[in-house]
Amino acid sequence: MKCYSCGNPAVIYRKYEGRAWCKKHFSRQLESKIKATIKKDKLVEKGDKICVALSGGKDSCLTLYLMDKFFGKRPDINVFALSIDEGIKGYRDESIKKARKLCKKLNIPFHLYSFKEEFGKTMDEILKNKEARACTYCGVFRRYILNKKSRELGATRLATGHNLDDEIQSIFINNLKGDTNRLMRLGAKPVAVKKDFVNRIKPLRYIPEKETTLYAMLNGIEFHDSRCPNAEDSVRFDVRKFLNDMEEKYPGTKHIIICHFDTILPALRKYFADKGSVGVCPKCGEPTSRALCKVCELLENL
Amino acid sequence: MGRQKVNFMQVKVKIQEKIEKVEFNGETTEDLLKKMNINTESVLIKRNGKFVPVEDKIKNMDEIEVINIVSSG
Repeated sequence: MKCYSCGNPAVIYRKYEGRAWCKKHFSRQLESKIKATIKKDKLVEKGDKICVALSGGKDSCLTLYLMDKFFGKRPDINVFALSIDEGIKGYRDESIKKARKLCKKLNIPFHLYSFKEEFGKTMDEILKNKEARACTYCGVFRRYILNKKSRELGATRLATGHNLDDEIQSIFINNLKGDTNRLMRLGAKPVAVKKDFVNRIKPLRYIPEKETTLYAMLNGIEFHDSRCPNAEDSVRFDVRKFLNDMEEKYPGTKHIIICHFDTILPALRKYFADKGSVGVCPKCGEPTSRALCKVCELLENL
Repeated sequence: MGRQKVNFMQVKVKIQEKIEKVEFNGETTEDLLKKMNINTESVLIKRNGKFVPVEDKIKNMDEIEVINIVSSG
């Protein structure tokens, strides 16, 4: 197949678009799409301090790489990275090496925090004598550190590497669970419900996972590509498979889902605006919509 | 009634560090993936060391690398 733009050999054919692209034009297109998302949703503005949540995986590495490419030379915008060591031996130590290496290569400040320092236990220790679901603890603790530490580091934006597949999987899962509150929090720039929450942005939100991976590989971005050993074959796993099957059979499905969601999101947020007020956890002082925040509740169970 | 053209091919497939020879009936990597029961959305393909669209035609004895897309977390 030949590139739609220049006729050189193509590296990808986008069925949902009906066009094939070479390395140069695919990369250029992907960057333009992400820039357009940033501009349209005002993900980054003058004076912003962007903290990139960097796991060392393909999507977070790509997010950091592009934030640096787009804003690295801007004197009014700061970019830095924050990684979390959950303490999963043989997995996270490897991905942190990649994260650190990328920051060094791009000359970006790198901040590392750990579950051990914050909560007194590594993820491996938490799972030792618990029948706990690993992802519940890990996800809640990780989000807590990301918000708290990025805020303390002065971030005005917390950029995550969520791609199109991640986002539509979450839309489906929240629908399957009937979780309206979580559903409303999705979006390219989820609403910061209280001043203590750092505004999250998802620059890769409209880019399929297949394309984030291809871009990273074509452009020499080194990343860690193992699956977490604690990852369960959960609902997300089944939803991912279902959506990939649908996309293969009906190209464009993934984009239709996100565009439709974006269409109804403002109405959802407006309708449910008064629900779920946010207060402060009496124990740790972090923002929460519960009597005791989820982190403190889980810590009590340890 | 025209007879349907049968296009048998043998290619070397590298998947998760293992290399195997696969015989299949078809013209493209997409046909090969279908035979191997792999969803085209969940992988990237290299043909003879270069990234190619799954819809590209392949030749007998081509080396196909199937790269799984890993969801990180």
